[in-house]
Amino acid sequence: MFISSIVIFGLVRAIPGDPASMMAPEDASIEEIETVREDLGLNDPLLSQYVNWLADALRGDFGRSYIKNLPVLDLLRSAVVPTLELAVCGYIFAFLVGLPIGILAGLKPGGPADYFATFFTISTLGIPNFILGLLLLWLVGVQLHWLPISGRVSVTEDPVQAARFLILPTIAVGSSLASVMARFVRASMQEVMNQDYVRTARSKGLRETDVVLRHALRNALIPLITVAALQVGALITGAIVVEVVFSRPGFGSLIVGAVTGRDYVMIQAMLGVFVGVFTLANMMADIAYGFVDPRIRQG
Amino acid sequence: MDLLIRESGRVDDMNQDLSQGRLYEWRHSSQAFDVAYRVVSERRGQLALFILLMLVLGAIFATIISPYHYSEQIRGVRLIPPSWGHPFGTDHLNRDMFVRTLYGLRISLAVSCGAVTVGALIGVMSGYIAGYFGGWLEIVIMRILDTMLAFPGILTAIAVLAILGTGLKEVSLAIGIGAIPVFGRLARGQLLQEKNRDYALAAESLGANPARIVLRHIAINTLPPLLVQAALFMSSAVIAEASLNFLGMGASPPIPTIGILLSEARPWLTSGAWWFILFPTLMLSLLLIALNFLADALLEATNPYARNK
Repeated sequence: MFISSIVIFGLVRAIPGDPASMMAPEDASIEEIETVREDLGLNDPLLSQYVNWLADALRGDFGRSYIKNLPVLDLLRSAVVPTLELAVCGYIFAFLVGLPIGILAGLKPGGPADYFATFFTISTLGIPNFILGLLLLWLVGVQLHWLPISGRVSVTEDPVQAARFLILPTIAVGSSLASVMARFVRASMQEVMNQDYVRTARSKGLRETDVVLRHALRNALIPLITVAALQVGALITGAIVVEVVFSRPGFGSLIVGAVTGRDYVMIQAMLGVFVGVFTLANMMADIAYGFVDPRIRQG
Repeated sequence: MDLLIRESGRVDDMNQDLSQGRLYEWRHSSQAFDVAYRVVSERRGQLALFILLMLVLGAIFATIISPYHYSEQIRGVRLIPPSWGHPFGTDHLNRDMFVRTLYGLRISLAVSCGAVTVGALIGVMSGYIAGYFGGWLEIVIMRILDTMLAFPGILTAIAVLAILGTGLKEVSLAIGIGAIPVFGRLARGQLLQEKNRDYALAAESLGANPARIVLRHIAINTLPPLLVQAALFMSSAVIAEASLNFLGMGASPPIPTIGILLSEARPWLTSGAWWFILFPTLMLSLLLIALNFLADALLEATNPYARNK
């Protein structure tokens, strides 16, 4: 995390173009530009710039966006809720869809559920999330007029409308993760069903649902935790792109604006936040792993 | 002896191979030929290669197949649906979608090939160096790779693009850089497995220098998983390229990449111009599915454990 902060800082400083001359009014003289640069602290040695930035960032002050001239923190705060709600919904969707498909396919390889799982996997491999978003937009939004096609309504204002706006982006974001999970659970389930303890459970005379849900599934899901955590990064980047497809406000539009406008304070802050979230997700996965499988804690 | 077995009529598996004579010899003259044979003789491999071949040919000969240029505005054909003259229809600026889609395919292929080359070359080399020499060099290299791995998905690419500026070459480089840690870690792991095998030790004791040992003796044995990874990564590079271009971080508009075509099609969805979005999507999906099938076929061809029982 610490190394990443140096990398982010170094990376962003390497961006060509002088932010001071972009901030100053167009007819500013060289002296005026120089003053702006002094104000921004751009003339300080790199190390002290870095220390200042890190200290400010840890206190939650990411500086001001060069282009919008607003505090970055405010921009991030306004973007975090829409992106987070989309990412979380996508995650839930992935679990709700991926797990049942994976379990059913794993229980009966070669059965109808397995064929469906294969079909599902191949189609998500071939259709990246943002294109799925476009297709959904066209099919459900434009052709069938079932759901609104762009924008966002806050949950606190009107929950029903908010949900209607969320459905399509959620499917677009969650599908590829769902197929990853389905594939994984299927393989895991197949393996677990051949274990001795499943046979023992059956020979005890337990009902098949009990065998599957209480004995097999719990063990089959352990490796899924790692997969689920590793996919957080993909999920967030997916949400960013899908947001742009559905013209939702959020990190997506923010980062696109920041990169094309070379707003390096903004880029710095956003990369920092993403790496933080990603690292956190991995840490949580490790903790959850120990929680689910006691052997790891002792070992 | 050979003749005897054949005459006796007991033809088992091995002898079937033997009786094929030259094919058998050819297949077993090199591991590469064996892998190629296995890929070609499997259904998914055939399908993948066939689709890829068609797409690549279409991309290369785009300008010959179609009489139009990708930025040519043709009189009187604004947003018309597919017809014989324009198999994929035309767009809002009277341009032929067929040639634009093929051109986009060409760019997708070129950019992702570039990305794979950059990522695999730098990644594999740093992995080899780290694995072979060990010590502080290994620690430093692996730390750098781990740090890079902390940037999820296409974020590395976005960060790199923020520095380099936007453009196709930049996109290719940016996606490639994002792949370095994956290749690096894989190459190091493979190298560590092979390093202490007898043949590597023999080469070392003969006085071969490290570069020769690694490149000539070890590399060939670590190749299969790297090859599979390259095919897999190629498909994610295609997705990343399309996404970045869709977000407007790649080429600038007159150039038709698949991502740009899709972002141009976005506002026209409401007007019912389905061909505008369908054909670029179709081409991209075909490419992605073919690449994934190829990766699967390669995995099964190179790794006996992955074969279906």
